[in-house]
Amino acid sequence: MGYTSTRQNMADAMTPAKVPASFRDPSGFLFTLKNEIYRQVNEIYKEDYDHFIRSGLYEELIQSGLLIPHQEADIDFPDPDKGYKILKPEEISFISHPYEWCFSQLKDAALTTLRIQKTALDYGMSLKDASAYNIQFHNGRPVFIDTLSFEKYQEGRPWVAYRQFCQHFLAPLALMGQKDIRLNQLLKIYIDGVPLDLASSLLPFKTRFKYSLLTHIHVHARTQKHYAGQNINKERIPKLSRAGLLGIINSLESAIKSLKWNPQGTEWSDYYQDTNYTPDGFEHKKQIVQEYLSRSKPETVWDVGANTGHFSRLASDNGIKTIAFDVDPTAVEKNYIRAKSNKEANILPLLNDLTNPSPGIGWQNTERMGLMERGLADTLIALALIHHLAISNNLPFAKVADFMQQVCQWLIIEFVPKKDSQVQRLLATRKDIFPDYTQEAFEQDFGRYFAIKDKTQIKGSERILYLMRKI
Amino acid sequence: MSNSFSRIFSYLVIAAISGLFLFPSQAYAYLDPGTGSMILQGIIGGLAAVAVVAKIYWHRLLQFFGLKKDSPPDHQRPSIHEKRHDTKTNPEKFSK
Repeated sequence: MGYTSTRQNMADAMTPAKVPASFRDPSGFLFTLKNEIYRQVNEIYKEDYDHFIRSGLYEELIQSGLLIPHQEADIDFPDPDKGYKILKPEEISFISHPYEWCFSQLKDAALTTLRIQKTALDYGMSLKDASAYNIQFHNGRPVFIDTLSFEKYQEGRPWVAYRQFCQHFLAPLALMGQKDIRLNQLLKIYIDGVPLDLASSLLPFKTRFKYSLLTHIHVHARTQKHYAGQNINKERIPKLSRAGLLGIINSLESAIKSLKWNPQGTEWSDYYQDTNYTPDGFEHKKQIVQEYLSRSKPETVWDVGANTGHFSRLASDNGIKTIAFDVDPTAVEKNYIRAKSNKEANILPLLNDLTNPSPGIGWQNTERMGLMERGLADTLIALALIHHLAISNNLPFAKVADFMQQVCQWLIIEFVPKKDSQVQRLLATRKDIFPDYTQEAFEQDFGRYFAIKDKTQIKGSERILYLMRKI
Repeated sequence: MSNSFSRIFSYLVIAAISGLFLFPSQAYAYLDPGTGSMILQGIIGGLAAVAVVAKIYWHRLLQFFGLKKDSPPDHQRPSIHEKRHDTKTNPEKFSK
């Protein structure tokens, strides 16, 4: 599915459709045809593109796994007046956005961007943009997806994407690491990265004593402000030597590397130690989920409320492309670190709040697609989640079922009865206004959207696992 | 108070810039690189270049007095990038 909007119907699929996110760069654009993604390279970019291929830079980046591979395709140009070549990039199974990444995902994306820029300079080219949206997680690794972002390096010229790099990577990482992990959500508001004056005012005073943050954020913000109102001839910018440019890239790299975030215990991080399953029950639950996965035979799985991805791995370890969503930055961070150290290719941990999923943002709200427009799941796993939605968020079962039938074909869901200690914990501080929170009502309301194919009570607990299929 | 430190530093930087001879350099891009961001790079880049050169000479000095024997680590050696620099004038060299 990849970049393709699921809204696109089959009739539309037969004619090329430009991807809404792809309009800024005149070098080319992305389009979809028959539900496949292509990129038109425009004549204006010919010289840079040819250099990119002939210099060996493309090959080097592919060998190092830093860039998405492509093949040149022999199909008609959607925009024939400007067309030079058509490329067919390797498909990315799910497009994620920087505000859905945990700290280490954004950090790895930043370091990947800088590695690419250094490699490009070795081949006489330079990145002309450094947008975080140009990085995607592909088979467990960050890769650069915009093949048209390279231009010939001109000695003496500063890095045009320096500001963008600071806004998309350095500022949010500094804010997440030095101020509050949740500040990555600023990227959802500011589509071109966190404004540096805002980052500067939010960062703690101590960050001014750190050379990299002092220069690249605080002084950078002030320099921007100083020159903002001035009419400076754009052709009279000071030259920057090659050594100076490399110095800046190295300085950014060490700045990013030095930023750290140590996840502290949060509400969920100790969840597996804090459940009321017996060891037998936990094992039984795994067996049932495994069996239901085999019965639903998914190619793609979403695990919502995945925590650190224990149950997601029942799918991803069997070669199923799995996205492990959680609302807790600590859980997503731990999940990513684990996936990265085990070199897992099929699991993608992402931050998302199901009660407020990522919306479409940018121009016409279509530039960066909302969660549900980016490809759905064959099977949805929702374990130990229903009580949080129904009780903490006051959602009626019917609304939860309605959402779930929009995103999947098969559903593996756990019902947690009211007498369960976890539900009692949620009710401890509030009035029980949920007389309809019963197993009968759950089955009845979900039964309007799903056929219940199977249900099993977990050993040593009152909880019940269901396998349902969309009607 | 909270901003005074960076304000002073910024003024120093801006003062340094105004003392520089501004070279013409073609700047076109579909992205607005931002005037302040371009100018700041001149300064940080200059400092970084000076630091790299100083590091190399400091290392050579230590070697000269026999205080250090090993060669500097790769990233401090400009030769790596100087060598690769050839690709700019001779792009075919790296093609496969």
